[in-house]
Amino acid sequence: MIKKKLKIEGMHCSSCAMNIDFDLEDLDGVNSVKTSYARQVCEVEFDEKKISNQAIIQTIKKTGYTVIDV
Amino acid sequence: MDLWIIFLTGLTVGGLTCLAVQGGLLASVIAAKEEEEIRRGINNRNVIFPTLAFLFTKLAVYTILGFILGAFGGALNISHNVQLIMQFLAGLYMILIALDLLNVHPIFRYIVIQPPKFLTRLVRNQSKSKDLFAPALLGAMTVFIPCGTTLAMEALAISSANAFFGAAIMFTFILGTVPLFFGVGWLTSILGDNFRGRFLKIAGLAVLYLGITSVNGALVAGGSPISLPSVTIDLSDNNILITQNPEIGIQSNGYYPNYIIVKKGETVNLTLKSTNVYSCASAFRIPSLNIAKNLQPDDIQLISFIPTQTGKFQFNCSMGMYRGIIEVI
Repeated sequence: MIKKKLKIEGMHCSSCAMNIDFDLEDLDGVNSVKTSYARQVCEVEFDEKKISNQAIIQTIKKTGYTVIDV
Repeated sequence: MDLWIIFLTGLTVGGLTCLAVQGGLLASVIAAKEEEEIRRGINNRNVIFPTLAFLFTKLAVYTILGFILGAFGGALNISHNVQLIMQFLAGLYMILIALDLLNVHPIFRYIVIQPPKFLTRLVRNQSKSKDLFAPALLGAMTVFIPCGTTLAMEALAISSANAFFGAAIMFTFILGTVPLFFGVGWLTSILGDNFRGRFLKIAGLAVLYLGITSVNGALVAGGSPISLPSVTIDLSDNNILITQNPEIGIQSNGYYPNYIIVKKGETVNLTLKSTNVYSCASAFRIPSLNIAKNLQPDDIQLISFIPTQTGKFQFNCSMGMYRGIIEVI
């Protein structure tokens, strides 16, 4: 399990943060997600054997937001 | 009450931000139900029914919530000052939300209260239910995941201090969000980010207007010397009778006449007559004389007092939106 902090751009309300959480939680291998609209940050915990960092970033991008890997 | 502004807010941002998250949840619950129906071989691919069920319960639950919030605000009315402070704070909150919508500074993002994780998870799980009533239940549960603008509207409902106004505010706002669930959302996704940005600006300005009106109303109703100039008082009527038995007609949009003259030292019997009033105008106040009277939509009430000072005294509704002057000579 590793924990990652991703900087997100393009969220315009707290619903966007919820959307990212919902989409990532559906992925196999993702343990927990917490996205903050105020801080524009997504904290995600995942099993790197099951899912790659890139796949997570791609999912967020597909939802419609820009990701900056910290 | 500026119900049109509230409707516009719902139509623009409320619709967009609601749709952003709730549209996805709705699609998910419809898909879950379809899967179940295909399995049982009875699927008729009807998305209208679940969408309507979702929107109808959402509208109903939010209207009830508005009713409760308004009643809560009214319960604070034991002291008029508490209500005004509440209204002032609600207005301030709306202004901050507006500044966030207008993207003035990232600091304003912190004003948006994000729903706790256990609630969002509860709603998310509901969206995966295959139950026949799942869309309706999901609609009701959206009450747990309000966006910033919805919170601003809830603040407005509390500050209205009346269960029916509160219900009307939430009903109008949610009604405004409805059209976007029927395809207009698809249109905005095609028109792109530019269009979304403009929507947010319109909504930001609308919420800003509501916030300023609310704060200003609190200042006016509190008798504050600092407030925005009023355009509602028209003093051009020269034929004002001097009478100790004046009558003020109350309508939804104000007081008629809004200028009366009485004599000092003699009892004034002021008759208030409301006809079909469904706005805060029915909550009559004379702050400087500590007089408060709440009327039914169609009602007649008598207020008696003896003016001890000459001068001009303002009367207004509880939210400071409609006003007039009593001149004591």
